[in-house]
Amino acid sequence: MKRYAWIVMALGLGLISAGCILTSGQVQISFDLPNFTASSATGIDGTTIDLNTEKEYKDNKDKLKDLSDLAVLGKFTNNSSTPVNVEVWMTTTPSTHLTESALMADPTRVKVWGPFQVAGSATKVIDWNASAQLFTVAGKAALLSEAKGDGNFTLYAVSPASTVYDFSVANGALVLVIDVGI
Amino acid sequence: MKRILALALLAAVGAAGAAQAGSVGVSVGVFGGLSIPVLQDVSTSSFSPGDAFGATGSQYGLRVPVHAIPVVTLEPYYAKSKYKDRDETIGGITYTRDGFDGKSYGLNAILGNPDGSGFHFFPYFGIGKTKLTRTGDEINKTGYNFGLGLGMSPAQKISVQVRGEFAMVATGDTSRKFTNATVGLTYRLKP
Repeated sequence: MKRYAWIVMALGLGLISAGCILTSGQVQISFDLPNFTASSATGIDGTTIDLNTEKEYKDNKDKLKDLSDLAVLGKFTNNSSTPVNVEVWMTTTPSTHLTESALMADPTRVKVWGPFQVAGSATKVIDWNASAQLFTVAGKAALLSEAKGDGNFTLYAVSPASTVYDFSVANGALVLVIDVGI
Repeated sequence: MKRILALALLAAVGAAGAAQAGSVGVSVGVFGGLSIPVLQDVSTSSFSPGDAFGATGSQYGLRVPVHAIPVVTLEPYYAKSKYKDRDETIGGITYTRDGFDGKSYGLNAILGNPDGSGFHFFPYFGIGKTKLTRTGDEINKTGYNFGLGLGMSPAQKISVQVRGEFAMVATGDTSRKFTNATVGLTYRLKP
């Protein structure tokens, strides 16, 4: 019986040493995005996100270890008759660029997500699974860095591959699932 | 991975030694049951204790308990699991996120002999490799589990086991956690 007791004690010690691994979880946070438009003729809209405005983020920021899942969600409408490849870019420093060329000249820009193709004169709601696949490695790293940093950045939707484009995004959301040690 | 190999080596050495002594017990079993995600993709703003558990998934697999050394039974295992898709309404639109598909293999160390006669409880712990995949997401890391089983032997060479366990896949400083409840049927090959 003593032999069993030692084994059980050793097991217990092992579990305690696992510490944070055991006492952790994945917390989902959704950020609603305002409706925005992007046009090669009239310009682009950016939306500045301050993660600190979300209680769930604020409550868990100091325990944040990693990003385990990401998605850009929403209803994309192509107002042009030619197909468009939507990309989401971020500037790690909040910005107010009004044109794609100004965005591309920003040294803190990072392509976060895309391309997501929408046919000409069509509206498409993105699928969560498809969206999760469209994040770039650099974009994921930049978002994690922002989440661990000041949490303040600006997102833009553009279509650099198209000469002419005109699309809008409605009911948009940025979903982050963060790994937190409790 | 090195730890798994070390345990497997230990099992092999133990089995070889005991085989020479002619006292190795080997069984083969299948099992199946429920697997429930714990504290995964939860929303803390509207959290209630029931939210800690995700939608119930399933798990099934194969075990080969080898009773080669006193007190401990070493049990290599292979298991597959499937978790349900999750629907969520965000911005007025309902989206579906895939549930994980899981595959794992490893080695359990069981205190006592799960195939023994009569009713008996047996605690166990295990280490292995677990791969969880879903669209746009793959976790392939070391997994740990520990739990308690209840074994009974309704006929010679056959035993039925009910197990409840806590399993986790380490992802750096955090983990994906699951609770599993399974029923297994084991046939004793030797002796």
